[in-house]
Amino acid sequence: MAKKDNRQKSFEESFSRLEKILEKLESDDCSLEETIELYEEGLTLTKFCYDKLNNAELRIKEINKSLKGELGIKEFK
Amino acid sequence: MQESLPQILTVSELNFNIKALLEENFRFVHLIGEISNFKIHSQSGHFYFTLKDPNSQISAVMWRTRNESLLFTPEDGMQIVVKGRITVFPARGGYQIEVWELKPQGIGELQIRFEKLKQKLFEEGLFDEAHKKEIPKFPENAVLVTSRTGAVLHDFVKICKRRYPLLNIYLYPVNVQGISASSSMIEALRNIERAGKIKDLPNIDMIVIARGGGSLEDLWSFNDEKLARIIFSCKIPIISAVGHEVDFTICDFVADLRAPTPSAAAELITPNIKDLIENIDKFSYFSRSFVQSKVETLRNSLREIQGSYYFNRPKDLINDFNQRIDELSKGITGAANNRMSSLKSSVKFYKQTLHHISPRNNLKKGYAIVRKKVDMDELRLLFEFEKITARASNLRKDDEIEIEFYDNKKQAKITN
Repeated sequence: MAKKDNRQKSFEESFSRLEKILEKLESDDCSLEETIELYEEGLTLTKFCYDKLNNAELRIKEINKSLKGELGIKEFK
Repeated sequence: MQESLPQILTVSELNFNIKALLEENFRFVHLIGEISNFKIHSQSGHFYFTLKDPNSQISAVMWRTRNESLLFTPEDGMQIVVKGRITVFPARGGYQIEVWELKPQGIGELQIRFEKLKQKLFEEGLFDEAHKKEIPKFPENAVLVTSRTGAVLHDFVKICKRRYPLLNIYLYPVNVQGISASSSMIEALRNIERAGKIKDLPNIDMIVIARGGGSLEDLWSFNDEKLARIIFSCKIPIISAVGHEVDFTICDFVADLRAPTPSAAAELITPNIKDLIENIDKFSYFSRSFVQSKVETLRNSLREIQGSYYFNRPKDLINDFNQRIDELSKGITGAANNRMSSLKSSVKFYKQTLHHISPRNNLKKGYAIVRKKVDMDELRLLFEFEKITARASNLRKDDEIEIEFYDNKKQAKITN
């Protein structure tokens, strides 16, 4: 569960971080070193996001009630 | 005229006769009235209520097998039209109407109830924008509360798959029509919200309540007050996607977001993967060009600085010094060479002079050098040693001497 949270966060965070990086790069007030660092970070994040989007496959599961009345999750269909 | 004896009946016989009479004559009744004392029997699920008008009333029952297909839950005060038959309970001596079909009296009845509830909840602030929770932009886990059958589920999943395959959909099957619909949705929302109630359910980003289009009666379950309050208090953002664009339910008003249709909900909750990829492409392109232009700008200003007069001053100074050092070193070398050649000529001169005054040169003039041989043993040395003798007194008889002349040496012996 925690793992999934991380994964989700990292896509959302990666994506918004990319937007921030671009904003910073656009503004002229960062040093050359910062620029290079931001650019490198951006490249890593870009690759991560591409991978996520290209390899994702929507999963569907069903919440069901067992005979004992306990709620659980099973594969759909 | 003979007086006939009155026919005496037992209570059972009377009630049986009444039952036969009534049930025979009222096999098929349409009745209009207002509901009061409405009750659902908790175990059997049968409806028991009273139908009344200003002057009269009648008991009514609707068996579970009949009321299951009902689209809404009747309430006290509701004007309804029922279809049914009269039945008599001989045991109690009472009669009632057994209802087969139950409808609100005209479309206006449900409409009025809807407006009343809407006004009430609005005044309580359940629809306030301030209470609307933010819908996450990049959901990972969404619960879809809808019917397991029908096009809604299929369309919803298809659109999510196309737009945002990062999503995990958890289907919570519920009834979306009939009197059990609102309670099954209420149960679903409660279970989803309660942590650990559903085993292995991850953190849920949002709940979508969905149902396809239908009449006001079909959608009546979504106008349930209790359901509305559960939606309002739910900590997880809820999207209401009930009916078509034109259908509005209480559920729509109280939810954090209203989608015109279930398909529209799928589009509203998911970012489009194409846009995302395009954005990342844009990022790659722009960030590279920003960095390139930055480096180019810096390189140009560096070149400018390199070429500037002041930046070159130190270099010029160094060059000046180098030149001066070269010049000085040239001067020093020259001076040293001069000195050397003057010394060389002096040496040559002295050499000549020395040559003129050397004793060897004097030998040519007739002088000779006398050397006396020294006895080796005296000095305990093994080689001969000759010592120049300048005086006659140093020589004794029989001393062996060597006389060196200009051209050669001769051995001699002192005789006196």
